[in-house]
Amino acid sequence: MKNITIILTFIFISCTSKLPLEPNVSLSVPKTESLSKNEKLLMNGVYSVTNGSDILGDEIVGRWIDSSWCLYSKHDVVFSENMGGFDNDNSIFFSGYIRLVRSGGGIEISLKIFPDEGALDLKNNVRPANLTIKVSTSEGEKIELHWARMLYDPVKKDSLKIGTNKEFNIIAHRGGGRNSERLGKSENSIEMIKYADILGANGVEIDVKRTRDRKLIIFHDDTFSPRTIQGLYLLGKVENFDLAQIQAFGRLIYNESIPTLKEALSEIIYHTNLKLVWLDIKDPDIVEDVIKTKISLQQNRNVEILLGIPNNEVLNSYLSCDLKDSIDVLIEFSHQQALNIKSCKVWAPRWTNGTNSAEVLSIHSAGKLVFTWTLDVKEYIQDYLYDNEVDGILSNYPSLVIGMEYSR
Amino acid sequence: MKVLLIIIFFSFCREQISAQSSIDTTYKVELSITVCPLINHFRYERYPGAKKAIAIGEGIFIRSMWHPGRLLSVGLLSGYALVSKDRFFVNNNLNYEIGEEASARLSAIPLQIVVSMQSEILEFGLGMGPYLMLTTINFGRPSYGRRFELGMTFFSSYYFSLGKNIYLGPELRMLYLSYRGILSVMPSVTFRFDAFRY
Repeated sequence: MKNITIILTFIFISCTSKLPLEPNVSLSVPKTESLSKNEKLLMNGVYSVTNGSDILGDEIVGRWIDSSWCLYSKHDVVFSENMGGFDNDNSIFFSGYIRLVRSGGGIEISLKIFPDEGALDLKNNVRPANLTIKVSTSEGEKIELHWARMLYDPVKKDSLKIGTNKEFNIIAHRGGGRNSERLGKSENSIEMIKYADILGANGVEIDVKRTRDRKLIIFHDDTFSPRTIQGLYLLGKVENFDLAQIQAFGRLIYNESIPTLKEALSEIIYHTNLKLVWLDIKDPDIVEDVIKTKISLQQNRNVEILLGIPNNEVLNSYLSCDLKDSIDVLIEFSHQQALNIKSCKVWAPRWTNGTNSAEVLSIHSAGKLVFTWTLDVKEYIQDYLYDNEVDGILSNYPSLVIGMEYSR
Repeated sequence: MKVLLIIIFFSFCREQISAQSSIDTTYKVELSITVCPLINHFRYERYPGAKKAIAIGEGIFIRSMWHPGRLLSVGLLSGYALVSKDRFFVNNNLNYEIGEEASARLSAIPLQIVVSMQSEILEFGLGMGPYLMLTTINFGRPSYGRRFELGMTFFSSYYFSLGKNIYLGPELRMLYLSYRGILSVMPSVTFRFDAFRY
């Protein structure tokens, strides 16, 4: 009777449970004068935190990403996006939000740099002796950030870095983050991909699936469910539906359209600063179509598009494809295969397998890179960043990786 | 709300345990057949651009209950419910070969464990467990999909006796599919009879 009661209670709770919602935070753009490129560079740095270390930790990375002033914590998955510039009184004013990703929380904030606390020096293109940012949260908390040092310079082995990408490769999982992170944008959506650099990533991993009419879409799961989409009539296997049906009957969780591979790659190439795309291919039958899509795109900048090869089936499909020389690959399983295949640029073992120094060395000696996936645990990110010689990390929490990397 | 429902559920169980006696009784297997319209409220859009949150469907259900002559009975619930069907025009369709008119229907087949408390003429019950959701889309070629999802069914019935061990009466049912945000209210008619007694 006791066991039946426990089972029935479990079923009851499962039947009535609701999906959590994202916090209600918004980004408003105040009427201010934008900072110049040099003024922005002078602001970049590691800041020590006083009065607010419970939210942000003791230190935080501050970095301009285009027109957004972003903060990345290294103690937890906490990041902030802000917009603003010089105010009439020669102070600098931003408004934005802090997202506490793991707890699902978020608070709106405003930031101020007073003229005598660094704003005037910045306006004169001089590095301020004491740069202080005063932060007020919507919950009435006062936080102070003090510029402490320059960002860590990650350029260690330039000759080994892919293309023009000199930075450590921080690759955002599912285009930026999973739906469970409640970022206000759906996983594998165009909107999430555009948000990936704000999250701290310089590359994205996206999942490729095929529809019944052999069109390629960006979607993670094998089946449609309320976890990934809105739309009552789309349920069951993705491959049971045509692209037109999917686009007519469904939207992603935050109401975005389900993108095709071509739309996603075009967006990355033409409308983001991302430098690397990891195409996660689970179905060996789509390899040729993926390569054809990649070939059809004219690149106006060097975005590295890597075909992810997770197993021997996909590898065999790739090796038997006439177009195989048209794309570089990332091999997720065999170190030896990564060495043997000329077009393999990256060996990407699962992080739980660890990395053997000799294997990493041999990959590096062959002019290839080592990434690890999907790494979300702070202690292990630290190990891989500080003690291993990996060149990139795929994570659901790119903001944590960038916070830890640049505050070294 | 959830806590309140859990308290009611456990009160219900406690009540039936204390109501049991050691007197020998007749054990029955009862079959109930319920026919009803479904008045469905959808928390989310059924398809992009859908304006109405309410749709009407219909259903037929069968419930088999083992009733040991005490207040509590347990059993299984199945059946078929047409949850919704829609027909609409797709404005931004770029595939001209398949036209602009799309239609779809969603059905549900419950496969649930039911616990109910009943006297001769009254019954209150709760069904928990999976629903097999079935979809058909007609836009170009027809497409079909299916998926199991958890749901809950509440029901309360009042019976009029039509003869020995045969009853007919109104029943109010509610179905809640929380994952899809569907709440269905079903004003029903139920026919009940004893299929087996020992």
